[in-house]
Amino acid sequence: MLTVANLTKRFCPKQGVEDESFTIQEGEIMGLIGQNGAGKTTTFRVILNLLQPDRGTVLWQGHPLTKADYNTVGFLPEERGLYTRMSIQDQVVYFAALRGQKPAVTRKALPQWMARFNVKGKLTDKIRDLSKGNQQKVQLIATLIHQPKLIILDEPFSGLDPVNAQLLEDSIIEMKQNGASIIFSSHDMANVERISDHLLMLRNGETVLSGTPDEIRSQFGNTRVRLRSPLDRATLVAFPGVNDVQQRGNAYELTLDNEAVGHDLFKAATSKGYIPEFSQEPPSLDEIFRIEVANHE
Amino acid sequence: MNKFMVVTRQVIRKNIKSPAYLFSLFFPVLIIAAIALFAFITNKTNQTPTIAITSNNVALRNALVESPTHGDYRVNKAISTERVAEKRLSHEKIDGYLNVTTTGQTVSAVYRQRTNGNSLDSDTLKNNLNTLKLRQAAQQLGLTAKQLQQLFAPASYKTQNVAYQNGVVRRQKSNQQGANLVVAFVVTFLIYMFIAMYTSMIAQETATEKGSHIMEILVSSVSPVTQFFGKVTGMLALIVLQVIITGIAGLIGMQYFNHNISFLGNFSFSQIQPGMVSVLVAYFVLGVMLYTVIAAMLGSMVTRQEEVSQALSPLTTVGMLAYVASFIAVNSNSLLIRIGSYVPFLSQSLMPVRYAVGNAALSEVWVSVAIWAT
Repeated sequence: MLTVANLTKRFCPKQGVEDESFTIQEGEIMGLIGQNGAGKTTTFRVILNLLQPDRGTVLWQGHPLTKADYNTVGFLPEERGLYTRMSIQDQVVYFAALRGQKPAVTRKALPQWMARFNVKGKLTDKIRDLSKGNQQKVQLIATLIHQPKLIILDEPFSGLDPVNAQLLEDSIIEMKQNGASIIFSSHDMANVERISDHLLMLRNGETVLSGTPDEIRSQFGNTRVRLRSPLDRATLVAFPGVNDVQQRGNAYELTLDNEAVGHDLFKAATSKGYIPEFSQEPPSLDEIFRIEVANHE
Repeated sequence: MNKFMVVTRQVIRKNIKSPAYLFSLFFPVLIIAAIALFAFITNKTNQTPTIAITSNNVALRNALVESPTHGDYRVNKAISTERVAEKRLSHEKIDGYLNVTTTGQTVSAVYRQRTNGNSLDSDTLKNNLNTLKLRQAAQQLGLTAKQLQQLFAPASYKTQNVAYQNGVVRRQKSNQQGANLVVAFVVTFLIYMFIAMYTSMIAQETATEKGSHIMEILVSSVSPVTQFFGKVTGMLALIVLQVIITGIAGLIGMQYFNHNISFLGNFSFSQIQPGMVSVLVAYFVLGVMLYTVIAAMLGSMVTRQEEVSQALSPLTTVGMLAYVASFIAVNSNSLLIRIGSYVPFLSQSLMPVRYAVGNAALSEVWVSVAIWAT
């Protein structure tokens, strides 16, 4: 279990993090979202002991992270950190050895990991000869191959196409099922929403949102409707309680004043019987993210 | 496996696999091989001449044929008459022949050689002939072998070089100084070479890690102190490897070329002043270690690889200055040189040379080493 309590680390006003608190249980995934410079990387660095916090504590299994815990940590830095002249195998074996895993164990496990992430290349290929996406995958393998218990992933999805992003999501879920505590940051709200048990949104170092994805979304009410019906645009714009109408193909996306407007809208849309689509939901995380950013500006 | 060893092994493995390092590692071997090849080719084209010896004095001729040749020529023993020798010479079977004529006390010899044959270094042949003639004359005069030896024993002649230290004469045999200086020069050059090479290697290594986020992974895996000393230890292991290979190549080269290069022929390890070896080893170890550690620190201060050479330039400049100053130190014992030989970063080049020429006593050397070590 990772416990971060009242963590503050300031570099200059508006940089770093302020009074950040969260807990990640074993087998739990936490998604950290926020704009560039919101304090995500700072949070990771403080957890890893690369930075000393000004205030607050970081406890891993009830004690501060020490040298003895390094072997149970898996860390993926935001930018690639690989020796470009080394072969894939040497690279992964070395990083795993630094985390206390014997080279023989790594060598045995590596082919499976390569296959799982669909890395294009042989074990003996040099890192610099790989594409950016494949380098990213090798970095991920190096982060996860020693079966860490505390996994910290800084922008793991950046640079991956949807197919590979799915492979990564699957691996993260598997690590979670093995009882790891996982924290990751991402700009892609879809990834975050799908796999996170808990969400934390930072803005200029301050925590603006915290909770499960459902909790956070429901705070904003079921005020979004997606509709395909005989009602035309003019009717929808004029409908009482509808604030905004956007056409998406042959469907409309509406923003409502409050949840109750949805009932009236449903009645009106179905007055002539069957309609192919009506869904009323809270705003997506993507939207909430944008709302929050706008609110604090 | 402990993490210190993991880091150390990694540094060694990575560099052993790099072509640049391998090239520098085997560079001395290549040089020796190139020289050997060159020597081989010149030897091929300039072979030992085969000659014949003929004479009207059969006893003298046989004695001359049996005299040691020191590899300067080969004698075709089957040819004993001038007629046959001339015929063989015309058929280019031999490179030349010596015809010795004795008339009474006079011995005269004519060496006839082909202009297109292998040329003869005639010194040995002349000496052999003279020795035989002397022996003959001595026999006729009734002198014993001992008397003969006495007659021709040369007078003893030696040069002594002296240096004064606080009014006290320090004595050094002249050949000792020569050998000392050779070794001191070779070692100061090696120190300089190693410093230049390994400082940039280790600084590159640390800068690469810092520049690309590898450092974040490393520091969250091992403590920075373990990491740093693991790196330095790995580098030192590489240095030891290179010293061994260079040393072996040097020794083999010296053995091989002893006869070919007169300078090396006069050189012998037994001539080196006792204490010289320990002085050189001490400076080598201290010099290379200090520079390596400082270079690693400088490398870790920059964030990009391009800045490495810039960060290192003060260090390499100092190393180069010290190396250049070591040439001045051979002939000068000025205050500046004397002070420099106590200052770390400089003394590894200056003190061995000063000690070699006898400008510094062993005690001064150890003071300088002690300053270094602290």
